[in-house]
Amino acid sequence: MRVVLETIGLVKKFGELRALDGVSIRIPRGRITLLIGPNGSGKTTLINVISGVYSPDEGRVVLDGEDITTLPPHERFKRGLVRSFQIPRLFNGLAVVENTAFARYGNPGEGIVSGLFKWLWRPFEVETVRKAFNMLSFARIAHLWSRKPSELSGGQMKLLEVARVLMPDNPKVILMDEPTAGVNPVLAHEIFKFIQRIRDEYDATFLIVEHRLDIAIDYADYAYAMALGRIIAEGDPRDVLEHPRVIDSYLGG
Amino acid sequence: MPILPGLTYTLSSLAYAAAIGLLSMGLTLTYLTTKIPNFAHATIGMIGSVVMLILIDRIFYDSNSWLIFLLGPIAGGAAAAAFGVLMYRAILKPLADRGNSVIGLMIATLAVDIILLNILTLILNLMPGEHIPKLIGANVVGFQPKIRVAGIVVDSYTIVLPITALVLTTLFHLFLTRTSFGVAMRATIENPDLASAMGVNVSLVYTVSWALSGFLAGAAGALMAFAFKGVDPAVSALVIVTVFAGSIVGGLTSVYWGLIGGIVVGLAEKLGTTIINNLYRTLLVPGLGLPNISLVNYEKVMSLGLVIMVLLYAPQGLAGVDWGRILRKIKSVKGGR
Ligand SMILES: Nc1ncnc2c1ncn2[C@@H]1O[C@H](COP(=O)(O)OP(=O)(O)OP(=O)(O)O)[C@@H](O)[C@H]1O
Ligand SMILES: [Mg+2]
Repeated sequence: MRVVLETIGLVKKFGELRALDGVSIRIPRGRITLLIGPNGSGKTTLINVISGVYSPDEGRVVLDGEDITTLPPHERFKRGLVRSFQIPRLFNGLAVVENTAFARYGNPGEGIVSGLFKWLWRPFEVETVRKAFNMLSFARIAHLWSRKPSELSGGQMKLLEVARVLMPDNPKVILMDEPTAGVNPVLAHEIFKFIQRIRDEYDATFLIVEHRLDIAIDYADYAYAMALGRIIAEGDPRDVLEHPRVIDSYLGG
Repeated sequence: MPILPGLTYTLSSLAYAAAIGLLSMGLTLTYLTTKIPNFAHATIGMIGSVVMLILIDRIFYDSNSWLIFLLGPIAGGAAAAAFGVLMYRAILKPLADRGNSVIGLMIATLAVDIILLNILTLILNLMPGEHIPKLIGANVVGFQPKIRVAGIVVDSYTIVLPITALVLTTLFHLFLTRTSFGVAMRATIENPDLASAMGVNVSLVYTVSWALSGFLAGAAGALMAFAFKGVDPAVSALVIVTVFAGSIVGGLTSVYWGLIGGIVVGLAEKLGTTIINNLYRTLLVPGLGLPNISLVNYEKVMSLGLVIMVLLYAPQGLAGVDWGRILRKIKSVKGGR
């Protein structure tokens, strides 16, 4: 097992509250790792610290052997760390297909000078749009490609987020914050099946926050459980789910 | 006295409006990206005027070449762009990173404005002209190529400025829609956090927006040297009022509406004031016996009056007006007749 993403003793404080209280996790390459835990246990905060939205008060984030703790979000993105959001965040000024394609723009368009000559990479553009349509049709929203995100339902926005996060080429780690929230069970299963397919085809690594354990459990390779900012159990997803501390934490609220 | 102004005056009004439009567009851009109202913007434009004056003195003093209209805006724009980048990276960004409020940043731009104004004035006062003895305030009208419109000789800058505004706006539009950096800029304006999570170097986008805004200002400023008949950086104090009025009338939500707002306000100041003055003097002075005074010096009343009207009746500016509904209404009124 090769570890591709590691956090070491992460602490994140919001005033008095220790939203992360010494979180150390190791995410194995080519696996789907679940992150579970009751509301407010710090799951989203962990994703935010890993992706660079917040900088931790203590601890380190290591991606593929490189300490990325102080890098800004776009630098982490360039190094292959991609994320989706619990509450969908989309560009309302851009159409659905543009929102999807945007996640792959980073590559040749990143420099100012080269960015000015986007039309030089016609093939890249065509491929990007084709890939965007592929992702959208998998997510069953390809027919909405020309709409603005504000015209989508909550579930459709969620699906658009999933399509988008799968756009970058060869991402090292894909972080997903509740990808199936508000999506019907049949589609939720399909989303996880697709995640599995991406994992197998590209040897991709996923860290997925999920509340719907009944659905997610069949697709995950490994699980971490959090409560009150700490990791309280880890291991095989079914074992973690049945761990007394985990059951207690859910019952305790 | 005819009510409508003559050709020469109309052309120079259009040119002035185009220059204000370019300035309002740049002011709107840096406001949209970095949320800083830049009170130094008009003085940054004056960098372009100073560059133009120096070019005339050193190169174009006797050539009457059209090249001046290419080289002036490009060199003036580049110098102003460089200053814009310097101002943002060296002063505004460090202040913003330390958590200063919009008010603090605004006051910083006022400070930069005063410093830049003094530097530019100093340069013009100290630098010996090669062919123009005293640079500051020297009349440059004679240094432009001659051109005839409808049989009348007009200042050629009045033709060049609107064309320049059109070209620069078109290029800027292509940049925003056809280049991935432009798309990244639009995305950043809408949601910087999300853009950053999607791989956009937000800080680079901000810096480039200051460069672009500076370029637009410098290019407009270079040509405005002719509109103001000479270069005295201190006029920026008057220009900035009009530029802000233009941006506010546009709504501060879109660069294109910034351009339109600037043009509307610029036209109102020149054509509007003159038409009102002519109406006043031909109708009201003899009719009602009102005092026979000239109203043409009350230009700023027009622009600030527009700002007040917009703030009262269309707080989102022209950009927020439902033009489709108004058009439909006009059509239905016409159809009803
Ligand atoms: N920006 C913030 N400022 C202050 N407190 C915050 C902030 N973000 C999160 N918190 C607090 O930190 C704790 C952990 O929040 P977090 O969003 O990480 O929980 P979560 O596990 O994702 O919960 P959920 O399952 O409801 O999404 C909560 O008590 C929350 O109120
Ligand atoms: Mg959460």
